[in-house]
Amino acid sequence: MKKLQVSCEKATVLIEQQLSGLPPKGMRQIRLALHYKICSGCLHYYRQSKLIDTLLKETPTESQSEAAFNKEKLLLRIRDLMDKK
Amino acid sequence: MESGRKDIPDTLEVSKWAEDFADGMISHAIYNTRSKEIAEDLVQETFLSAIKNLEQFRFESQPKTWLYSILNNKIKDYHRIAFKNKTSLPVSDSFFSNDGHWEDSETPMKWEIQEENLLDDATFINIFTLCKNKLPEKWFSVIHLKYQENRSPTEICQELEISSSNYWQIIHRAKLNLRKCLDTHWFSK
Repeated sequence: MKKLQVSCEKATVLIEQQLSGLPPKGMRQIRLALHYKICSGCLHYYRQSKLIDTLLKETPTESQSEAAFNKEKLLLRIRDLMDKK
Repeated sequence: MESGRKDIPDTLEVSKWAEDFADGMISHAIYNTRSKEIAEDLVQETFLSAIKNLEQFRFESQPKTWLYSILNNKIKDYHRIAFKNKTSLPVSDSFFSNDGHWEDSETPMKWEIQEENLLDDATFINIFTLCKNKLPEKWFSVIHLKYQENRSPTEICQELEISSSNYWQIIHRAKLNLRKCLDTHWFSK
């Protein structure tokens, strides 16, 4: 008989896969469902991980207002290279 | 009758491209690399490549499209090389005991939140950004491609030349560390 045991560590990997649209199937799904029942930490992890997914999607990497840079340097380089060409 | 230009762009034209598009290209590169210095280098390299290959440019195509396609290839190369070369900074790795169960101090507790309010809270978003910036460089490429570029796991594994298990390990570790950081700096305060 197969064991249904799954550790919290494995459960959180399965949760990440589930949140990414790869829901566990068959025995893995049963293991995960059972684990939610016995491990409240994993249920909280699921909700919090879902929130973090939203934050990762909604928050930009860096403020685009910091984009200004010295364009003159680039233009000089371009002219120099074009002259050599 | 003139049937369209067939000559190659001259200095004035390329300079005008830089005037018109460089700022946007820098923003695009910063967004994709989280570093202004790297972004500037990539944009410079893009113009160098463009100048070297001006003969390939066709006036019937848009210079902006052509330049961005070169820049996007440079960004891809950057992520692939960064992923291989960067060493992982020490991040917390002690969430689970040897038998795979939560360490007592790491077991997730309920967060009292109203999600819609959180997303509008500038202080919270700043803390989240700080937490995100603490992640190792090596993980950033994976996180960025997944969440900002909406690439599938298969595409990310191919692009960064990593295995599927390595991909899931990075996502898992990154999320565990982000969760802990938010828990410490916001929810447990």
